[in-house]
Amino acid sequence: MDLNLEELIEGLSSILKNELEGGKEEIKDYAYYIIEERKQRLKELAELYTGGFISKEEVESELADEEKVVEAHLLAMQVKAKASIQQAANASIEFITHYILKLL
Amino acid sequence: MYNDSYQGFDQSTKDFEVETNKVKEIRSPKVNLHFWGISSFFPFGRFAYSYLLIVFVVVGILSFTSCRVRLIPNRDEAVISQALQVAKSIDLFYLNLIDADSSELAYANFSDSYQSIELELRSLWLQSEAKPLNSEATRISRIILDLWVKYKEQHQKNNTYNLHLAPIHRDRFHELFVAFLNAEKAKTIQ
Repeated sequence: MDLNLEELIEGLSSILKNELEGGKEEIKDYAYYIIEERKQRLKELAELYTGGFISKEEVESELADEEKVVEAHLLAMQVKAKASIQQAANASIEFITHYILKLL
Repeated sequence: MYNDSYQGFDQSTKDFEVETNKVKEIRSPKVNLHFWGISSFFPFGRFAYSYLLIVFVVVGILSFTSCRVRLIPNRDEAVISQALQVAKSIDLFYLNLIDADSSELAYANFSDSYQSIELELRSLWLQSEAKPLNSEATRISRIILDLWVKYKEQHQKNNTYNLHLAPIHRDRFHELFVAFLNAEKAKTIQ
């Protein structure tokens, strides 16, 4: 049995890098979508308020609702991040198991 | 006389060795594999320890292989279908609302739709709540339900709906369902 720790650590870090890199890109794209949607929504609300179509109370109520939408998106991002971590952890366990089996 | 004392010394040395061996056996008892009947399982009794070691290693590896990290629940296609169905109902509700004349915007004309959609949203929330490790999806479905109830109560109170806000509310629900479905899609299928 010849355990090469360096090889094991290199393999693990490459798995973690690959798994987490994909998730990072997806979260970045999603964050961009959230920001773009907010810009659009705030612009619409500002136009309605300045045009006199909605009251100040309505604007405040709408902004509170927008906060909830952002919260929902952040929760979705949290699930995406958890999914990436879960995938990376399981891939690492699989790699270690195969490595040990190969040694035996 | 000298010989007698030498023999006596020799005998006592042997006795000492026998006693020492007994003490060693007591201190480090060896497992009698024949006594336990273990050796009968293995073809080579003297290699029984090696077999046991291999069995333990294999069992250990199998346990490690079956070990999985779980931070989120598995994807539930039924919940995704239900979310899509409710999203469609809400979209249809707002299309009807936006198309309606201002004289037809009384709450009574929409109360049935409000109730049926609220029922579907409550069911979606409860389904999310029932699953373990699902706090995020549960909170998102609760946000959707709370906003629906809020707009329903406003409509009921004013007995009309601000048609300038209706498209914004429609888009908001659409976005909330996007968040819910993104959270569901991130979950793995098993």
